[in-house]
Amino acid sequence: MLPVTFSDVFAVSPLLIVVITAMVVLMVDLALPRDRKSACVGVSLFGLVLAAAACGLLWRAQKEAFNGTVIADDFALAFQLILIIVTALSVLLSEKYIQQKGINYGEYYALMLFSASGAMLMATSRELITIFIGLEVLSIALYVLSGFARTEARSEESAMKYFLLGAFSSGFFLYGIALVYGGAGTTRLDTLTALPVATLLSPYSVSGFALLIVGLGFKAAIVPFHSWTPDVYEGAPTSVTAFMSAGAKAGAFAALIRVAIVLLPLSAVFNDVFWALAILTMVVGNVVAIVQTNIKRMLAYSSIAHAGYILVGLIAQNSDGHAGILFYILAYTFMNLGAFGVLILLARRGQELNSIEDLQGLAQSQPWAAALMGLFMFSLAGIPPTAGFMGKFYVFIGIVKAAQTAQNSSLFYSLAIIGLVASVIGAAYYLRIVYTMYFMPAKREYPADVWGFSPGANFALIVSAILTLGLGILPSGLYKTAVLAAGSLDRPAAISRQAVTPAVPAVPTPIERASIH
Amino acid sequence: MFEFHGLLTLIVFLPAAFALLAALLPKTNVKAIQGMALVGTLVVLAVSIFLYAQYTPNSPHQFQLIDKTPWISSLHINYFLGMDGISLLMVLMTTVIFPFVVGVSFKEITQRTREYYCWVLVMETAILGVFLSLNLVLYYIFWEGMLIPMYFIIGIWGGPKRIYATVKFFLYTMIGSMVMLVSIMALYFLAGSTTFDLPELQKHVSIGGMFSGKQATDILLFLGFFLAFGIKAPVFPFHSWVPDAYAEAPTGGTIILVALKMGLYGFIRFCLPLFPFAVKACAPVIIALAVIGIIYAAFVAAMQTDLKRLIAYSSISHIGVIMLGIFALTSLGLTGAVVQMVSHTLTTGALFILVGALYARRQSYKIADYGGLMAVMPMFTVVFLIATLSSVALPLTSGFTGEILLLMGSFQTNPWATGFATTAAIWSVVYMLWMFQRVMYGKLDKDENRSLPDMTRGEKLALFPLVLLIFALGIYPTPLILDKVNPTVNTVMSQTAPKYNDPFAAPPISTPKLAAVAMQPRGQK
Repeated sequence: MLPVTFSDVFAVSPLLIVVITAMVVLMVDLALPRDRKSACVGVSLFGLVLAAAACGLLWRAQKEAFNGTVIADDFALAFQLILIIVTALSVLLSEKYIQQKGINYGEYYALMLFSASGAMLMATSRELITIFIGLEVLSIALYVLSGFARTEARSEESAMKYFLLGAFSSGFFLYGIALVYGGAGTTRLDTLTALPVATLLSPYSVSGFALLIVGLGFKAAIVPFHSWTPDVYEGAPTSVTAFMSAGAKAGAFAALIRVAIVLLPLSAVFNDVFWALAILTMVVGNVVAIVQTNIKRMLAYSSIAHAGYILVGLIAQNSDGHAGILFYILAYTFMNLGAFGVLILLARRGQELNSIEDLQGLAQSQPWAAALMGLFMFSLAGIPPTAGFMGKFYVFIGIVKAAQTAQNSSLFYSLAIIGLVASVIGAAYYLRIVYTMYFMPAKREYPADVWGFSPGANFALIVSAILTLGLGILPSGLYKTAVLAAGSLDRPAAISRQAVTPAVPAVPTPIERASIH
Repeated sequence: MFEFHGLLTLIVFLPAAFALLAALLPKTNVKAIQGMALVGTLVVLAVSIFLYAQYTPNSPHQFQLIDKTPWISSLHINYFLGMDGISLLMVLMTTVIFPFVVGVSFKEITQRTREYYCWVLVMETAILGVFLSLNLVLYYIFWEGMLIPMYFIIGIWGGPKRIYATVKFFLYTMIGSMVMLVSIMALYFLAGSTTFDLPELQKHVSIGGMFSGKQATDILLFLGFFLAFGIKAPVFPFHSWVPDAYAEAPTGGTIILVALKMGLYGFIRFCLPLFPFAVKACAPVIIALAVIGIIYAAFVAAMQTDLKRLIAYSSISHIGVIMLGIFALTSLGLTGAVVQMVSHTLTTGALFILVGALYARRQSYKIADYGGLMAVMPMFTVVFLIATLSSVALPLTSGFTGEILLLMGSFQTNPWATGFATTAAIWSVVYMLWMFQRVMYGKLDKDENRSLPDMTRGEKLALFPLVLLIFALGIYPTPLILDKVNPTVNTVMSQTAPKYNDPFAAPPISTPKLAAVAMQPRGQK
């Protein structure tokens, strides 16, 4: 057995803290009576703050741990911080909502934290089996959470669907690992990067990689592996949907980016695959969202479409694209959790908002809730001056940059144009929510005490709103951090490459590496 | 890098500040909100007059009163505002028209007043931002951000088909801007990932030869901009959002849409200096589109039964004429186009105010519901006639000044197209005067129209200043506009003829004191 040093533990301390917090929550829960679970919220938030602090301590340290299977580079830490933010906002949004739904159990928070820790492990690992463990921790907790409203048939159905399809996708992923190992003899991503292209091009590894993409694409809700998304989003408790939409996506994309870097030498094979996936995802997500009448299903398809935009940044395969993805996922976290947050505020036991029509005339009776929802919708549609626009700008500037140096630049340009035009289709359904709220006469009664319902949720919403607008107007600081984090990502690949051929003086950029082959 | 005069920042964000103040007023105090909005737009007008006085036309610097500071430094994006003669005129046009937008809304907007005036003021900020931004990303943000207030203005306070109209307007504009965004990003990388600033990019094009040997890229990027501006302007095949949006918006909103000369301005500000060769290559096609648009829209206008839609189509026809002036690529044509942009805003703005006043009396935009109004509304008829005549470019009105300059300039390079376009003057007489005749003359045969009041005091306050401006620009335009605009026009024209093939050629210097002397296009195909 390998010795575990303090340094190893330190490198994974953020997710370790989250796991320990989850266990503490389980313990605390035992001591609390049924109607007073607020302490669980406090403990969870405290743990998340500690985890964030640990991320801060590790920043720029570029620690490798557990024999190199885990790397706490800035890229991983940035993703972990995003996940911590997602979890904290979700916990705040959940508290009163699950009370109202009568599912106020401490396990809820513990599961959410476990799930987050899985996603965090995916972000920080550099080895396929470790990624798989992260994926499973993330998924299994999410299966349970989706079915948490156990008295509701829809919730049960959503958990069942998610579990069955998720189990398949995990199988794909695992089988992919096996094939890659068979073809290349390793499951370490950094070792894979250093291998000669011929080895990577063996049919075993190529089909293995393809299966890895399927497995991660499922979690990230990429078309054609998306079919679970609308049903699960619709059936799961809204607070879980909120968490899942940003958290699972962040974890999956963190791992996908690391895998995609390995695939760079194979760009002749996989570029077209990613290209097709991105276009399918953006077009299908946006087009199908238009005809949805259920608001949670609409947001599910919208989330698929956003996965497509993020995929565009991934195809760029340069630090601009990766920085863009980091910015985008954070922006998406605020605007999407914000949108679900408004739904949570307006939901009351027995009369949750389901159809878009339920929002009719919201602007007259609840002007602030409508204004926030409007802000989040414009941001999701990518209209400036919101974070959503800036995110899109950064992601697409990555792809336009890639187009400059690529041999088939029209492929990249067409991706940029198709993506942006698809986002115009997207604007159509976000606008529909806005006009339903603002231009239609009121049809139903809303709870009068919307803002007295849950101080925690109010806080989460206001923070989301401020950052949705703030990151749209002053994105510079965060983007610099994202560029820094994205820069750290390319380093391990470059180091290992140097180890193979020590004569190479300059670090090749991803584009150069792509064009070599 | 850092230069901050502050005046332009002040004028851009002043309306938004007033919007914030208005938002803090109690919802029920409609008078105070209206007052706040009016005071806000008037203060902005005062600041813009101060800008007008500050601007020195014959300075060696094209852009003046610059506000520049790094904004997103990792991508070299600056907060960069600056003004030249053309943007000065656009700013003045906007600030002049906005008090009228507020004024005409006093009676018309009775519900959700506070929201309305807030959006109108935010809209003014966005428009001024578009006219003053010199960084392409900043520009894009104002350009696209403008959609949000306009979406609400049409969607909440518009006519019966308002939702259709506002969504159509939003999506049409957005498609164009998305393609433009890709062009903007590509420009950045073509310039060596160094800058999004217009003056810098212009140098890369004219001195650095950014597009030399890259004709296809040049034309594709130009088309990206063209689509965005063409939809907004609107140019002929992209115009179908206009009649709906104009007809469904409340009067104030329609006037804002008329004053939205952002598409045409974009052609002058970005397309001519950044894509000189693509512009030359595509000019024949664009001119053909413009001529088709002029004639097609004129015919459609003649067939309209709805006053607002008629004026909307007449607008499309006039925009075609302005396009002709811009893409004639002569100083005279460009000057004429700029003057015509201002004149069109004033004239069409006045027409929409008048039509709105009719609607307030009769709740109808149908031409058939009127007739013989001269008998009951003599003064109203006179003002309506002046606006109509300016619209058909009668001498002594502002419409004439612009159109004559424009057609003269255009004739130098495109005699045939100009010949066709000139028939627009005839068509416009047909549909405008026919409309005027059906509304004002004839027998007062509808009982509902017998007791219509003549102009109210508020309407006089709104319309007399506009009539005055229409005459002022028609009779004595030189000191008011031309002297301010001509040097800039010459600079822009010199930028459309870069000589980067000869590295030793001196950079083109604008000739000051040139009161609209035609320059022959230097590039020969």
